Amino acid sequence: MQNSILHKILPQSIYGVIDRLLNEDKLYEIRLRSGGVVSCNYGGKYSFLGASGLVDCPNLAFDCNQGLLQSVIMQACDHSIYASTKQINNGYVSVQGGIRIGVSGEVVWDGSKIRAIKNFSAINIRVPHEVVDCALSGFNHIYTNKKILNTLIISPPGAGKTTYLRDLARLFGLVRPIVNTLLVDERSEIAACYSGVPQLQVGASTDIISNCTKAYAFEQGIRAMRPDLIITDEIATIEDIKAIAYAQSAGVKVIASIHAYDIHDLTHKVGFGLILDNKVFDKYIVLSNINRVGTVVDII
Amino acid sequence: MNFVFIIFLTAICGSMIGLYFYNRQKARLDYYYELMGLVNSIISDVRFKQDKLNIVFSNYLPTCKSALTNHITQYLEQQNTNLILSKHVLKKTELPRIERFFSSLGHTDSGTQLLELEGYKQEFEQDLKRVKAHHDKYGTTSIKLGFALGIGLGIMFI
Repeated sequence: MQNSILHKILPQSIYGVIDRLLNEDKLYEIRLRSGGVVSCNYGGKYSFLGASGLVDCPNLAFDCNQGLLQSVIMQACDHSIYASTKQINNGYVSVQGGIRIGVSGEVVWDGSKIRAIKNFSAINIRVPHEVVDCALSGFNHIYTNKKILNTLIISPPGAGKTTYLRDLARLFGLVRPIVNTLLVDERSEIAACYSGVPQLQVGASTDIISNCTKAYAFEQGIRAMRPDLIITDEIATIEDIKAIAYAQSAGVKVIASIHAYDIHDLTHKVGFGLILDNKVFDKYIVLSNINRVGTVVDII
Repeated sequence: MNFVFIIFLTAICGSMIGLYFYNRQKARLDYYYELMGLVNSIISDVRFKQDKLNIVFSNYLPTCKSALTNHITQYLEQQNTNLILSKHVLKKTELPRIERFFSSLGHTDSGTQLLELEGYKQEFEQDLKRVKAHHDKYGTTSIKLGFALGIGLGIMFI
C-alpha cells in the first residue's frame, strides 16, 4: 500500500530509485528542502538520496525546488488543498497508508488566525511502520487480572511511542471480555484514518476520533462512544491533563504518551509534576532509541 | 407519385438537418445546466464536508449526460499538467473560461476556493441564460426551417 502511495506522490525519478535500490521497510523519512536536496532516514541513519541511491555528498543528491514541493503537496492532497487546509495550517498532511507529511513554510495570518501556509520551504514525508507485538511486554504490565492500569508512555522524540501506542490499541482488541477502546488520534498519526478507514492496525474494538483537540475528543467521545479505555498521544498542555482527569472521573482508563527522556525529566516540565504528585497514572513505561527505536528502558 | 416521394425525401433530409442544429443547441444547454450543477456541488462540498475533488466528481459523474462528462474525465486525467480540454459543444470563445475554472479547482484554501467558485458561478449563470435564450429562440425553429427548406428544395428539384 505504502509503495503505491509513495509512487503517487513522489516524482518518478525519486520513487524509481527508492523502488529499485532501497528496502522500504527501512525507510522512515524522506525530506525535501526547497533550494536544497533530497535526504532520507534509512535504517535510522540520515543520508542524501541521489540517482545512485544513498550518498554522503549533497552534490550527488536529487535537487529540490519550490515546484517539486508544491507538486508533492498537491499529489498528497489529491489536488484538493481546501480539503487539507486545517491540516496544512497545523503543519502536516495525512495521506493514505498512514503516511504523514510534515510541512514548513511561510505562515499567512488573518488577524490572529492562521489563514494558510505558503512558499513551502521543506517537507518531511514520514513513512509509518507497524511493529506487531512491540508493546507486548508493556501490555502485560498494563493489563493484569482483566484490570487496566492508567499508563503513561514516556519517550523522547523518535523513540517509537506512536508505534507503541498503536500496538497497545491492537493488543487491547484481542482481549476478552471485549475492551471498548477510544483512540484519540489528534494528528491522524496512530490509526491514520483515510476516508474513515484506519490505514494501520489498531484493534477490532477500537473507535477512532481524529483531527480534533483532546478536550473535544475526550468529552464527546465519552458521551457518545462509552469507552472502557482511551488511548491518546502526546499530552503537552494542562488542558490535556484536565481532559485525562475528566475521563478518569467518568471511570474511563487512560493510556497516554508524553515527550520526555525519563521520569526525572518529566518533573521539570511545567505543570507536569502534577501528574506524579496526584498519581494520575498507575504505571509508567519509559522508551528509548539509544540501542534501537522502541526499546523499553523501564517499567515503573 | 414520384414527385411526392421526392418532396417527402427532401423534407425529411431538411428536417434532419434542422434536427442536427436543434440537438447542438440542446447539447450546449444541457452542458451549461450540468456545469451549474457541478459548481453548486463543489460549493456545497467546500462549505461542509470538504471531500477531495475526485470524490465529488465521482459522485457527480453518474448524473452527467452531456459533454461535461468528457471534460470531467479529461480534467481528472490531466490534473498534474497544464489543462487542455477539447471543445465538444462549446464555442472557441467559451473554452478558455471552462479551462480556467477547472484549473482553479483544488489549489487554494477553502475560503479562497469558495470566493473563486462563487465568481465562476455568476459567470456561468450568465452563459446559461444566453444559451437558453438562444435555444428558445432558434431551437424548434431550426427543425421547422429545415422542413420548409427541404420541401422548397424538393419542389425546385422537380
